[in-house]
Amino acid sequence: MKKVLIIEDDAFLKEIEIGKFNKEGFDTQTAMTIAEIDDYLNQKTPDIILLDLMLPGVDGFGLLAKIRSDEKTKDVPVLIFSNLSGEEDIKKALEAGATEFMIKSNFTLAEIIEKIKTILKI
Amino acid sequence: MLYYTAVYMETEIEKKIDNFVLLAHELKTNLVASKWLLDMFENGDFGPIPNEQKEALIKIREANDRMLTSINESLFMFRNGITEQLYRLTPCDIDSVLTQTIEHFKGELSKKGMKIDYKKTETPINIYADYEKIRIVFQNIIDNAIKYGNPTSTITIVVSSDADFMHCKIENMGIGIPKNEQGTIFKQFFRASNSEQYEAGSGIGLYGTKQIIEHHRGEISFESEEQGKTVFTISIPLAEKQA
Repeated sequence: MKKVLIIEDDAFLKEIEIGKFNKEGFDTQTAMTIAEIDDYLNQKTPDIILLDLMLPGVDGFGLLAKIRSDEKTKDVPVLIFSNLSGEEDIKKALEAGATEFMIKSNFTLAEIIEKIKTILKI
Repeated sequence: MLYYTAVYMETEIEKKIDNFVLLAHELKTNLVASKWLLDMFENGDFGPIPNEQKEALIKIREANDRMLTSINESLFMFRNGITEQLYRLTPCDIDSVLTQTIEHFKGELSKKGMKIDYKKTETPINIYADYEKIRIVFQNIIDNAIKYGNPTSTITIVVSSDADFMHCKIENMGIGIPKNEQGTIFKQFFRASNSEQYEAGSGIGLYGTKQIIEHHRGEISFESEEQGKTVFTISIPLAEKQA
């Protein structure tokens, strides 16, 4: 079972994401703070990370840099999953090591899952 | 004193933009949740639904998508309107703008089996423009040409110039714009009636496109036949004329 770590702050979206991803056969967990992320990574290594760039009190780009520099997660695909749609944000994220950038409002969850399956080759 | 006033004004402008962006983010988050759930309902994630109910759900999802588009357009227009004095106009090579913009669409073109036929001009043509904003203009027009264009068709881009202006024609074969709606396509939040079945855009709309062009003292015009050819012509002042 592929492990997905979703770093997302919105409770409503989290509930929908967990339901759909679990139904599709993923081992899904969510995290919102650095402490929650560290907690998760102390127990397991995800197969893919979905990262929302707009998190309260957390710099999303800083978090991406941390994921890319951490030995445990430096090679884990990171799919940026954001409502930000500016060209500069997309370019900045891809240059900082994001695998893919998907604007939440442009895709259904089914399409996002298809993208994840493509990235994970399943 | 003037320097500090200018810095203060720019800081205030940035604060207003940040506040609006946060508001838009909140609105979009809830609309995204609706979009996802509606899609899941339609696809039977919560059990089978009778056709009549499915059709109603599709209409709700389309309305939801239109609201998302409106927020994206409003967000852009707010940013554009409030920062119009911050346009940074410099000489820009139109070929560089177009080449970079076309590169952005490789994936989408491939999905529909479409191509873009664009030939660089023999001599460089420099326009007087804010590079990023003018690139958004061409991105929006090409995005529409792909979205509403016939699969496997070719989009043609031709650049020319006269004494004062660069002219760029972007032509596609596709659904076209209904004759009775052609007078209103540059109005805010407009979407042609024959485009409703297509995915709602995340771009700035033709209203935003026209606003940017007008800030550049340029012009945009078009000709279109339903289920036929559509040609948008964008004219921007040449850089040499601004010296």
